[in-house]
Amino acid sequence: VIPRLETERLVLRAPAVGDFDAFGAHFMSPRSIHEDGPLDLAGAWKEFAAAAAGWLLRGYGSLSIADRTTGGYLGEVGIYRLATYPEPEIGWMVVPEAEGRGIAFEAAQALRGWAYAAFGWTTLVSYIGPRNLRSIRLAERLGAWLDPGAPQPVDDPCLVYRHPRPEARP
Amino acid sequence: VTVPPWETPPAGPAAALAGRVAAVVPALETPRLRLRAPRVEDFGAWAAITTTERGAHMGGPVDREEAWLDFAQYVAGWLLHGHGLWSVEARDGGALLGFVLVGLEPGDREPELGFLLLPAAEGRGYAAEAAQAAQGFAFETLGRETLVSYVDPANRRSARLAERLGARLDPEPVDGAQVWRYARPEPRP
Repeated sequence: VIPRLETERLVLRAPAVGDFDAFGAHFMSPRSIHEDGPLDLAGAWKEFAAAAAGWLLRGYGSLSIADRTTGGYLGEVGIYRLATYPEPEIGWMVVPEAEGRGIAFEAAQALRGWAYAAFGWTTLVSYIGPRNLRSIRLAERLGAWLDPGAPQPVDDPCLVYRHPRPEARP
Repeated sequence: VTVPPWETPPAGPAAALAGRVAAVVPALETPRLRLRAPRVEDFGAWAAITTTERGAHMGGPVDREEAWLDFAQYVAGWLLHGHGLWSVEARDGGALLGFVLVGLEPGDREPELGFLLLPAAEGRGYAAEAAQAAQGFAFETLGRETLVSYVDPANRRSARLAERLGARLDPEPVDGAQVWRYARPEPRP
């Protein structure tokens, strides 16, 4: 029931408990500084599991990114809605080995296209820390722009990037 | 009461997809109760329990953001482990009474049976009735031999309930918590 999306290089599939080792390693390391990390083991598990639960509670959630050839775990892309998010957010994370190869771009583009088509949505936002330059560049590459008027997550000021309508996508 | 936007239920095709995913949660019935898949609109009740002193024996009280992460991570158990959180409602009238859980978090050695009731639902044996149904699922459907409840030694009420449900106290505590152990009943001859 949870969608499985295939792109040129990737398979986006339902998260599985075995994906948590790599996911947790990211969120327990200093690399997660721009995503409210680093977290302890329990905190990393909550981030991983709560995003997966979105599928059951909201009809959208996280997908694990796997290499289409090897099946290896490369990261996560998802539509997130924590208790403080005014709108559904599209976000991404890739493991160190997958950085710099356009993996997150390919995954986010596929999930955004799926969500627009499945739900008839016309926009999404990405909440990005002001010093997370890598994610800011990716949001811009996805055609999103800084939306200073958009409501921000409660008690968590950040940059809100707004994604273009389906027909305007680059 | 104003429901914040992130606590409003999904609508349209997203609601339909959520419903199809939620079908993985087994619906269980007892004489007075229905155990069913949690929904976003149940979160208010979860928060009402876990953001107050009533949540103390589930690691709380926590703030509302943390309460969401807890609620959602227990719900995710259905997708990640094949067991998780049920919402418990009255078969008569459908009122939400609380929650029962077969949970597993990193560091846990085995699945845990947990239960949380709204104040108005206490004192009528609902926790025992719901917990027994969850135990039946764990023993019969999952094939578990035992389940545990981790209980704060200061929480005499939960310890008494575990005892009444047939749990035995393990000799050794884990991380300062009492371990009450439920065993699968012997098959009847």
